[in-house]
This record gives sequence, C-alpha cells and structure tokens, in this order.
Amino acid sequence: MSKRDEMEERCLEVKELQVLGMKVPQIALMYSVTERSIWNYLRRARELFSRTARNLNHDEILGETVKILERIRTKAMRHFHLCEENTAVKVGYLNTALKATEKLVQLYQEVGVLVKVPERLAVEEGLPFEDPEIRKEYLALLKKARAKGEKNLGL
Amino acid sequence: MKKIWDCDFKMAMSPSSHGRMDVRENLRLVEHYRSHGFKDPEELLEFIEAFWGLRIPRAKVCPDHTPPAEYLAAAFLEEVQDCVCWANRSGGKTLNGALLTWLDSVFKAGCETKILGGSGEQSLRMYEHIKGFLTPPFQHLVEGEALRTRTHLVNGSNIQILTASSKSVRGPHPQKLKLDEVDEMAPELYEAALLIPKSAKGIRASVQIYSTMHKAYGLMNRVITEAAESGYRIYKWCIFCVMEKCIGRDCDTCELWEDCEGRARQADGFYPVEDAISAKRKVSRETWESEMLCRMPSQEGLIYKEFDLSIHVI
Repeated sequence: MSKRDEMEERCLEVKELQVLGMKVPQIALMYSVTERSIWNYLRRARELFSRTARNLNHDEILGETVKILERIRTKAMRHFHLCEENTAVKVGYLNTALKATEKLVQLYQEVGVLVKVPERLAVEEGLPFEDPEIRKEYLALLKKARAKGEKNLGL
Repeated sequence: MKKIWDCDFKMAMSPSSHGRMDVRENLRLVEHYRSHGFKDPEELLEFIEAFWGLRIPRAKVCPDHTPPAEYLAAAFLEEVQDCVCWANRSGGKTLNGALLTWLDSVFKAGCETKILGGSGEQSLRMYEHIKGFLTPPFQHLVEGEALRTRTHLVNGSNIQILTASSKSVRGPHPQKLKLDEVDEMAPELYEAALLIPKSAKGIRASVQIYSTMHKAYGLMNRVITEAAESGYRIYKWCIFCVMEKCIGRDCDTCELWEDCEGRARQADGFYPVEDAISAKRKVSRETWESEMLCRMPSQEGLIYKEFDLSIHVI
C-alpha cells in the first residue's frame, strides 16, 4: 500500500469513527496524534468524498444496476419454471422476479427512460394564493381542464 | 418555479382517471380575490374564463370600436362610472351587464345594483344570466335564494331586478344602475331611473346603459347624441368585434368582405362567421348596418326616410 493510500485509509477511518459518535479528542487519543491532525484528516476525508462523487460515471452505475436487476429477474424466472408446482418456494421466485421488474421500471422512470403517467392529479390544499404566479398557474390549470372537457372541477 | 401540475394532463384529467379538483381551493381563491382584489385587468379576465368558461373578446378588431373586455375591466375596476355600451345584436350586452353586476356584488362588499330592462322579459334575461354565474364557488355567498326580484349576498351586496314600470324606479338608491336595451324603454321611465344611483359605502354611483340603436330618433339615439354632455363614456362594438377568428375562408368570395375587409382574421370572439353570413342574407342593408355594424339607426318605418334633423329643422 502506498503512502497516499495509507493516508486515505486513515482519513476514512477517522471519519467513520466520527460518524459512529466519537469526539475529536477521543479519536486523537486513540491514534496518539494531536486534535489538529484529526481535524486535518476529517477535512481530507471530505475532499476525498467530493472527488469520488465528481468522478462517478452515472451511465456506468446505471448500467451496472440494470444488469444486476435483469440477472435477478432472469434467474428468478428460470428457478420459478424449474420448481415443482405449487410450492411456496416457487411463489417466492415469482415474487423476486416481480420485485426486480418493479425496481427496473422504477429506475427507468426515475432516469427518464420511461415516461411516468400519473393516475391522478392532486392539487395540494392551502396553495399560497398570495403569490401572483401561483394564481396565474391555478387559473391556467382550470382553463386547461375546461378545454379538455373535464366536468369535475368544482366550478 | 416548479409547476405543481407538471404532468401528463390528458391522462390525469381523463374521465377514466380519478382526476378531481378540490372545490376548497376554488373557494379559497375566490376568498383571496374578495379580500385582495385583482392585480390587473388580465387577471380579472383570466378568472372569468377559468371560473365560468367565458372568454370575453379582447382583440381590437375595428379601429373606432372597443372590445367588450376593455369595457368590462374598466367598469369593474371603477375606471369609468357612467357609460353607454352601444353594441350589435347578440353582442353580449346583457351577458356583460349581468357578469359585471355579479362581479361587483361578490367582490365589492355592500354594492347594490338595480337592473331595469326595456321590458320585463329583457330584465328577466339579465336575471337568468346572473343565475348562471351562481356556481358552487359562489353559492355560499348568497343569503337565502337568488330570487327573480331580489338577490341578497352575505357581504351586504344586493341585486334588484325592476319591472318596466314607473313605480319600480322609485324607492331605495343603490350605487349601480344598469339599463338594458334602452331603445325599447319609455323616455319617462328612463328619466326617472337616472335618478336612482347614489354613492355609498365607498362605492361611487354609476349608470351603465346597454343597447343597440335600431330606431332613428329613438331613446338610444338621444343618449348617444347627448353622451358627451351627460358625461357618459361610449363603448361601442360591432359584430366583427365579437366574431370568432376567421380561419381559412377566402376573402375574395366572402359575403362579409365589404364590411369586414379581413378584420375578422384578428377577431377572438364567439359569434360564428357562418351565422353572420346567414344573418346578413336575411335582413335588409339598413337593418344590418344599424343592428350589426352599429353604424346608424335604421330609417325603416319612417314616412320620410330622407328626413334629417339638422337640415330640415330650423
């Protein structure tokens, strides 16, 4: 392990201890270093997290997740077909396949691959009508609904 | 700002879905306007369109006419007190009068209005229109029942429909007076009615007159002639000001061309082009000009059609 890797490892450990609830003086005592050094480790840990986030390849992560979910679904379905009839295990496999499918659809919707069609339009109660922009949009919505022939407008 | 209804509206509002607007929000919006008023004429017109599905024509089609929306906004926002709406048949005069009466009553606490029609039937038409505005977001504002004779609102406003009799124009003095179809009104009744309005509760007295001018030397003719002297502002709109937008019709072969000259292409009203063509075919040129184009009173029925008050009277 290089010196740099060791340093990164130390920073992450310190951060983990802080997350677990230890105070900076306690961590300093544990590593026999000054409190200032612990604060430095924590700062570097933050930088490390930011760098990691910046370097994330979204497509890669998405692709990886999709692949895993598809594998789960395929395997679950294969086992479901291979299972003997009417066993709880068989139902379990089917459930797993369905769950994986649901997760996949959800994922596709979240990233915009699938367009999510709303089942119901709900207008929050207590809209801030003192905002002219809100009033304008609300009136526009009523007009649009009228134009679409919607009867149930409470008007 | 993120729009709260950013979604596929077609699906959300389709009858098969559970799309439902909350009536309470409509009530809250009405209450907001009742306490804070409307920001500008545009907001008022949008409100009318959203709550009653009425699109008041806004486009300025004829250079010397005023679109009805301009009148409605100016009258409601009290930019004008006494005025005359000289408009064509089916131009929405009674409807605009009724709408303005209802808006005044709802949004101006303590606003009292008397409506007098050229005939009992005419007054009744105004009442029928007002009843049409009494939709769910406004029903809680009416005290008791909206009667043919009088409607009381919880904010102290009231609307009284008068019969065309001299007795009915006597009595209490509300702030607003609406005279519908004065060309059909007896001059004595008109004179007596003008003394009805009186400013009160911070609302200025006003007289608003709606009519076509279909009689040469009739009452409307007199009202218009004396308008400047009497302090009436004239709002005038013709069939083209309230006509629906003309799309795809060939102007070269159109029967309306001699009067329209392509103006209907800028219109945004409600009067069907086909109906206008049909009406023009059915009536005489004089009737068409006076009743639909608001140009001059018809001289039909006069013994001496060429008689001119300025030439033949010393």
